[in-house]
Amino acid sequence: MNRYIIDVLNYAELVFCLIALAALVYRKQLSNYRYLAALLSVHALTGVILMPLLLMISKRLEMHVSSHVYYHTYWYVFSLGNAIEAALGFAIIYSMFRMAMAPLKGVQSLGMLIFRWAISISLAVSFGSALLPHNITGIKFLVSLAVEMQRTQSIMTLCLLLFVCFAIHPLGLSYRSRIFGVSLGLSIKATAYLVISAWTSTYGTKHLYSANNIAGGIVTCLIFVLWTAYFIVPEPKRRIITLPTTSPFLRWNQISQVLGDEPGFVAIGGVPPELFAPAELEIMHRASRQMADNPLLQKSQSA
Amino acid sequence: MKTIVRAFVIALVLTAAVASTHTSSASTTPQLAVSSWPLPQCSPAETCDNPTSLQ
Repeated sequence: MNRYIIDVLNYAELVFCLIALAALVYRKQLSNYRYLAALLSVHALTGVILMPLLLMISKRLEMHVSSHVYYHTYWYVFSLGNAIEAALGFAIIYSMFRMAMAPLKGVQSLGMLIFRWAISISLAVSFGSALLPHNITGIKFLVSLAVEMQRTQSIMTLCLLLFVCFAIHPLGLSYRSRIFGVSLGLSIKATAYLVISAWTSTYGTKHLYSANNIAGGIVTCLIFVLWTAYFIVPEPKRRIITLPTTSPFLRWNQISQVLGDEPGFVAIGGVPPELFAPAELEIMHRASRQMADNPLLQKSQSA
Repeated sequence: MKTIVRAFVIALVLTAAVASTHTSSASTTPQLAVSSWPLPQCSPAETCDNPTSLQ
């Protein structure tokens, strides 16, 4: 029974993934959501590679050969595909944050600086964890790297969703905005990943067609349907952002816009008179004459 | 609507937080992704007789 459901889910996952990609193309959103399109393409490609092998196992054709080919293909293709998907996940989070913060340029630049640091640290931790002595060979390293990257990316995705969800009104967005839809889809994927990981590490996989694959397949299909719906339904226009003058968003935006600006320069000596414009020289002459004529003014200026 | 969405998001984050405390990094068969693609019983880090058993 499980085998039949998983076979159906494998096809459904591939079909829904391609439909979501087609919705993105249809709405001409490839430039804004290029990392999401890349993620969907990598996911579809992985499915296309694994599908015939699984079909061979399912139909019990060349059982011994096909099961070993599937085993090796799974770990190589799937771990490489998932390492790429995790890296693209980081890129999606980064681009969603940039798009969400677009109206507040100051906070955007400051937030993106912090975001870049957080992503760099996450990637460094993933590489560090994957580079354990017993993982030094190619495939073991690749699997470890993919798992660690998925974990850190899942945590960062949930942080992004919390931010977008609670700051949605000050940012002029609504729950029907694609930025929220994409973040929500990624967060459901992140939560499902952490739950299924806990499930697999606690109970293990007794056979190839386990119930955790059914759960994973259903969640993945739902995410693709959610993204398709968000891209098919026209997105409401971003509201005009009106913030109270006491809003911390406004205050931080003003502070951040000033941060990093080039400082001004003041000439304090050695300036030849020919550098000044005639009008400036005239003002200086008049000021000097006024000071000479009125000694009281000169005294108050020097005080 | 706002309350429902916020409650859902908080539930999602709390579930993930609880699940992450139950995930062992030393798991023999690491979960690579959320997908319906069947996960073999053992990872390249270990050896098993039939990694793609159907039963």
